[in-house]
Amino acid sequence: MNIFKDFIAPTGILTLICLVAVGALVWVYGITQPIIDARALEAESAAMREVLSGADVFSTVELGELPEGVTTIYQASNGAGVAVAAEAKGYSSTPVSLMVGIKNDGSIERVRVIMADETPDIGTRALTDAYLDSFVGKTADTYTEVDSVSGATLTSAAVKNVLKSAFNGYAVSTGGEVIAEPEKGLTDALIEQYYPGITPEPVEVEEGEAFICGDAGYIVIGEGKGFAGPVKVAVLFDAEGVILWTVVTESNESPGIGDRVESDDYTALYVGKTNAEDVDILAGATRSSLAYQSAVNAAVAQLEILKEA
Amino acid sequence: MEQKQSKLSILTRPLIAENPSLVLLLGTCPTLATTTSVINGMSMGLATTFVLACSNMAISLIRKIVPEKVRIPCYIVVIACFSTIVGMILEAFFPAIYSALGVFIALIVVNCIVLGRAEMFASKNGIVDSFLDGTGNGLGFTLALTLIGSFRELLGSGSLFGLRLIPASIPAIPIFTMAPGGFFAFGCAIAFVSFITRGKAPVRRDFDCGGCPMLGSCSGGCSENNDAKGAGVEA
Repeated sequence: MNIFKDFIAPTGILTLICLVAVGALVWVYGITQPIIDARALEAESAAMREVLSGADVFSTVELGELPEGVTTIYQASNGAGVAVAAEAKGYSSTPVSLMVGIKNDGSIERVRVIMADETPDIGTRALTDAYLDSFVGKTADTYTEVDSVSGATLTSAAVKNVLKSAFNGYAVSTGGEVIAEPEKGLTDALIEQYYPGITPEPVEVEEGEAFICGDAGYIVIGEGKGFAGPVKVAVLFDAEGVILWTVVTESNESPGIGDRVESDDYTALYVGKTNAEDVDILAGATRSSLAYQSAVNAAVAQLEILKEA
Repeated sequence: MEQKQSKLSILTRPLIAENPSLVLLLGTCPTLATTTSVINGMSMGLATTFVLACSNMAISLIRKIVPEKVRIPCYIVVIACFSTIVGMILEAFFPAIYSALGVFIALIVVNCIVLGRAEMFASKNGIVDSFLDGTGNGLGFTLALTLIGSFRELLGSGSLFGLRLIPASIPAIPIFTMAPGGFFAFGCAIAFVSFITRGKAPVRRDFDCGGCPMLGSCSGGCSENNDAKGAGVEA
């Protein structure tokens, strides 16, 4: 009897309550889910018609694999263009999800928010219709020209990332290829440009990495501490130790702020120098600039050791 | 010795005098998180009221068959069931509110007001009383959330129920729609309720059961001392 009272009855009653609860949930789910689905579909098609006014009926483009960030691609049956639902992470953990209407000529007709949970009055300033309308008429080549909203950097960056995915989706839907990301860092093309016909040979150094490029020069990767972890810079020297080019191979600096030191405009300042002295610091990116300088100086120091050996 | 509270007092006591949010300080998390605007706070309050009333009734109904050992899991299942139902209904019929409240709908399950009422009231009282108690506590919670929500929306966005009251030329104070402003408004609301209930709210006389604001519905440590309990309820 004790076994019944202590074990069987509690288990049985808990199970019974769970079953009743499940039954109730199944019943409510059966009623509400069709409404939820219909509403989601309706909201999406309303958004599609808003971003692509010339379209009549949309059909989903069936592709084996959609480009990164793209949720769905809808094609207008009258050939007016495509509406691409795409998302990218902004500040909030909920991604910024936008519907992007791209006309047949590859330009944006309109951008609208499907869902986002950015900080009210801060991040949402980059999701207003007024800001999104500044992308109207932009193409895959020109959309990055639109300024970010100051104070809403991460959300602005998310909007542009969504647009990048959307243009990729457009390209795929028209049978094209995903626009390749320009390769960053120490690429083969870069090596070929400065040391034609030479394969760099790795050599052992105390810190970082180094390569000897025949008689033409050296590549040394130096490291400096930036705002968000190490900044690694590959410095390309000629045989005399003069800097031919510098390029970031690894960094995690703030997008739109510290990462401006990775732009070609800044790295070009080092060309023709033998060390990082006299190179200007980028206003507003002081710590990243200093990291860049100390990375270059570390590379110069390694080069001295390398040349003596 | 009057031990039973009147039906009216079961319903009205939790509104101000024993407000679950502003006097007992339960359910602080949704109170802070969902009161960025009046409509959000109010809908969160009403959703919680629905769960409270329904789960209180259900738990009162099954209170005689639930074994003591598994009562907490049983209550949780019942509460979770109603929370999920409220979530599905909101998503189907009030999608704007559902997306504004987000995860806090699902988190009604772990709202300590709901479990607190189940454990302290519904498991010991009849269905009608439990329904009234749940409704009263829910409405008290709604009242608190609406009060804080209007304060925050008015100062943080310059509007009420989405209707702009302060002209756009006067900048709002967005911090009130964010977490720090939530704490500030919450503190002000507690002070306000404490002010208007001065002398009426349960006074903490001593650190024993007689001084506990939950005395009226508790049968814990001093269940044998019914005189003290009865006196406390009347006080």
